[in-house]
Amino acid sequence: MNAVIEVDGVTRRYRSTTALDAVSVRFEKDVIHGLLGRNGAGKTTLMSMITAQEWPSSGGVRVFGQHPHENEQVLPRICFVREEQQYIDDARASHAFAAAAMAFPRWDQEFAEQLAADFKVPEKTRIKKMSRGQRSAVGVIIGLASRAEVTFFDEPYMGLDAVARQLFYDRLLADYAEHPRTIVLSSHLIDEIAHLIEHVVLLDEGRVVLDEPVEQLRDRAVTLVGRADAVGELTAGRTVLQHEAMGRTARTTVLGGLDDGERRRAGELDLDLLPVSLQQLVVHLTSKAEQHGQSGQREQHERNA
Amino acid sequence: MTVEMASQTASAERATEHRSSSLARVPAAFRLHLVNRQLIWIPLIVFGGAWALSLGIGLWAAQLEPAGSGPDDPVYTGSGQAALWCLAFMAAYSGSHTFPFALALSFSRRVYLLGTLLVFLMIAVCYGLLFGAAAALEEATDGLGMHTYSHALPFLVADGLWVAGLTAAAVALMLMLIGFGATMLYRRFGVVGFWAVLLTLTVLTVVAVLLTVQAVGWDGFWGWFGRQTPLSAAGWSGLVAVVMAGVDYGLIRRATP
Amino acid sequence: MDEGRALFVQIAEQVEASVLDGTLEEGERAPSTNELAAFHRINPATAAKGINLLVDRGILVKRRGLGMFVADGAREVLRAERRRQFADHHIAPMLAEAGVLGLDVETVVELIRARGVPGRGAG
Repeated sequence: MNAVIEVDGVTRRYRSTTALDAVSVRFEKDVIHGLLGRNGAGKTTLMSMITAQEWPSSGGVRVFGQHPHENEQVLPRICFVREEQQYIDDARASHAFAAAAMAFPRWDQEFAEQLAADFKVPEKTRIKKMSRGQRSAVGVIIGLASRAEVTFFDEPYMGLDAVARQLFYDRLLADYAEHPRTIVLSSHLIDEIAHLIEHVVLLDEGRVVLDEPVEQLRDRAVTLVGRADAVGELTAGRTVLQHEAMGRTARTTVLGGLDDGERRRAGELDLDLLPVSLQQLVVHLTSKAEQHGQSGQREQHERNA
Repeated sequence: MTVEMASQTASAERATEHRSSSLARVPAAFRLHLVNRQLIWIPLIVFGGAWALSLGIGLWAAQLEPAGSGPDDPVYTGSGQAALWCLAFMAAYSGSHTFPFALALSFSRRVYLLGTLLVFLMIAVCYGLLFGAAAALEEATDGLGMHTYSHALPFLVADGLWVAGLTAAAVALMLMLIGFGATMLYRRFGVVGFWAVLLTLTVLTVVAVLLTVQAVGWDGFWGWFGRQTPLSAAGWSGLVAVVMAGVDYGLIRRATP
Repeated sequence: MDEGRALFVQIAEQVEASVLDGTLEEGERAPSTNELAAFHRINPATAAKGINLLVDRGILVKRRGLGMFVADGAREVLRAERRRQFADHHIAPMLAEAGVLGLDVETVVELIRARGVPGRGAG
């Protein structure tokens, strides 16, 4: 294990709210991470702390083993373009790229120009006159062409249509394959990125709810469909994430996988076992808090830990 | 991990081994302000425009004067100031636009501020040279043949054109740093904090003036200003500029995009 | 892709299918990790896991500096494996469905005969 980013017990309080609550998480070198969570879960705040654009109220952050704050040994190796990034308004995209070229030691100008053509970023339009999608594209291009060893993409698809988003995912994968680096992709279009990411960190109300390889999430939860009494027999005593009933048929999603004995029993009872997609799991884990309030969510968190 | 991935990881580690200077990116931060050259050409337009306008007014005023009064009475205008206020505003504007972008480009605040100070210094020097040149032109041509002086003002050129230029440069630098500081004040404390600090400063200034007047009287107060020379004005402006550079650093260290 | 099995298993199965139906010949270069990742739009690490699954089973062999190649005899290995699994994967579900519909085994066998055996013609 080779962590390039270490976040230890980071809490960030604003006047009346706690944006991050004792968050500890590591991001491994050369892995594509998904940073997931609802709006306001603390994703952007966490990324701001790691990139030293802001600082924690308590706790510590290390990037490449060093404190990033005001650290010119670390910062040029990081790129974080915010979702609502402010640019030099009267500048054009080419101006922004020229500035980025000077700032990032690994910048690839040819790649940036290729991407600008692919995303159809207008050459003559000032950034402040651009559409939401065009501005997003400028941010995506800076993130990709910077080739920074640690690159954050903060909801990079806002205003981009499905074609442009697919273009982003394709270019990201292709360039990552050639130039492996640590990538953190913050998103709530989970289905779209589920196959791109290797590791997932899920934030909910400023806490880490999930932090594990995507591959392992398959054992995190399972959905059972079949006769209600049979479903009930196998789900008794488990944490139910979702339950729906229709006549004598039930569909119940529970936390935790089934062991071989339980799988055999499910076969005997003629139950269908469906894996839970990342999107479903995230929805279950984060909407739980809303139904049961803060305390229910905390219980859940402790059970997961 | 596959073989090709492993080899690339190794080369990446090699690339990051060398330590670069912490100031290596100051030139890049300097040029960040100049990617589009608004910071230069807008003040230039204001400089030229205000001058042209004051000449026009001078011409108009000369025609209004009764034929009897001497045509040799020179007209002095304050239009040389226009570019100064423009520079202060542009410095504030530049700060508000480049700072968030500079953070996205991963500049440390210190490097960004150093680059900014260098840009302001360069612009102040250019402004000083331009001001001195304009004053020289006015002296040589008797206010461009219209007896209208906007730069070669008696107080400023008392110790020569070079000193006039130096004073103009120092005042420009001071005003730009104040303008930039105002932006950082806003970024640091938000809109409420911004006005609270400004209000506090105003109150403190008024109290300081009143206390001074109480001690030395109004004559003493204004007399101090009367005793200043262009060079001492440059010195005081320079001092305020240095203090403001320190204040700007204090603000930007904890400013958020 | 369906969500039923782990993604890397599905990747391995797709390569297997290509070997079985001859799209990939024995001794031919197999798609690289990055090619698979780009084609299926998945993380290269996932693709690598799928490839490793096939290397472990001797379907693919790694040639240093050249990439992955389909092993000699890979097709026969896969066929033998699939034959062993045929009853489990295809006959058992068929009989289960037949049971639900009330068809006895004889009827099912007749139905199969009526379809004809591939390669021998109908009748």
